[in-house]
Amino acid sequence: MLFVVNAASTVSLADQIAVQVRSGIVNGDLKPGERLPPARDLATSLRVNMHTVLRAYAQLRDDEVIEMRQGRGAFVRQDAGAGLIRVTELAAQLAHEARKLGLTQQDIMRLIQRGGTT
Amino acid sequence: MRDKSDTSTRAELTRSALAAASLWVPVLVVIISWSAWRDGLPPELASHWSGMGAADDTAAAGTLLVLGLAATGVSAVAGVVMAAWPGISARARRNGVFLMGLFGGLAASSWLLSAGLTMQAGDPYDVVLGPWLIPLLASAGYGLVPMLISPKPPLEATDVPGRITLAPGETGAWAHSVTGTIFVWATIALSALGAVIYVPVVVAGQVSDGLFGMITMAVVILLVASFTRLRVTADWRGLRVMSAVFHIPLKRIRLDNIDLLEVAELRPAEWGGWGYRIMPGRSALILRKGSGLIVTTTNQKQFAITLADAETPAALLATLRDANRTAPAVKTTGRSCRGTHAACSSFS
Repeated sequence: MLFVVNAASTVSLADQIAVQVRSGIVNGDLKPGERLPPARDLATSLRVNMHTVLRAYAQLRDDEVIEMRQGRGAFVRQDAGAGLIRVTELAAQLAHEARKLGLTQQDIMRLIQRGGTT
Repeated sequence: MRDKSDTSTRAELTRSALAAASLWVPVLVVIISWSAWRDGLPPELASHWSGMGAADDTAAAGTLLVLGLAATGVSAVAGVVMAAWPGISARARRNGVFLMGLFGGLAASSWLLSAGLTMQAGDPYDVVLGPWLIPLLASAGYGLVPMLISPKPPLEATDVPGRITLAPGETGAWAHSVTGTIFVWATIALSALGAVIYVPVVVAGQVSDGLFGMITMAVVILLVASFTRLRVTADWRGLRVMSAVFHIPLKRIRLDNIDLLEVAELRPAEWGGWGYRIMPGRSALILRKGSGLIVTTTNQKQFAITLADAETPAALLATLRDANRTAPAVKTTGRSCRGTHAACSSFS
């Protein structure tokens, strides 16, 4: 898959890489079980620091999008379907917008519960 | 521009003419050897061998001479026709003169051996071919002479029209993993073969007897296994094919060596078959039938690889190549940074 990073962007390079892996899964470029490029290789290809790529991969692992297998690299999780990624993205967006409006977590939960019943 | 193409056309015509002329060498060899040996030539010459022993059939010297002249002459005339025929492709011409050279070389050496060895032995039924079989077979290699003289076929390629839009400060890289199913099967088959051959040897405790064979087999298996999982990358360095199994580069084409990039349907028959194919001036990794990327290098060589999404790496490499050409003074080595790649700053 194609990775494009912009060093001039305000978004961190690690976030840019993570977003591209997510969108790669959403648009089918990366399939469940597929191996991601080794961090060292991708870093050289993109001319970024290896730790930047590792940070992106760690973030994706924490978000349960990919899994790291000892000595074998990073793989797209079998359950990392397009739907899950989309919902994760929307949830992050919702949390961000809600925080801007000064809503508490309880308010957000109430809104979601109300949304689920309609 | 016109002068250059005129010169290259003239050079190609000269090479075609020389290739055709080289096919007359076997004819001359037959004529010169006959005129030199004419006086001492026995009336009957050894003409047929069934094994490594003495000849089992003879023919009149005149008949063999006529046969030798006819065979070398036909290939020489055919070579002239091929060189002069305008409608024939350079590739077909090269293959044609190769076959004619092979035929002419074999015919001339057959005559030389029949006549020369019979002269030495005296009686044609005493003539033993023995080790002379090797130069006889090697004479088929004469086909390479006209083939290599004949002009090289022009590499046909059109550059990919697509480009990846990269804003200033953006760096693009493409990475893809491919499983070489054909190499997986080959590895399994070779391992099974190795086990069948060498397990009994090991069980019998005769490891030292089969050691050389075992090492060769192991090296071959490792070599084939290295192609089972491939990582293909396209970035500022160019195109790379790495073995994901052993982390070793199998093919590297630097960005400044890339001339043209083409996405095409790769047919195994056109690239010499399945697997890793190496031909004069062309190489290919054919893992399946279908779309792939063809890279023509600046030194007029081609490399092809079958890829599911060949458009993206082709467009990316074309974009990077164009950018590289407009900024040729700056080297793209190691950690050096070009002004447009602000991403380099993160190395510090």
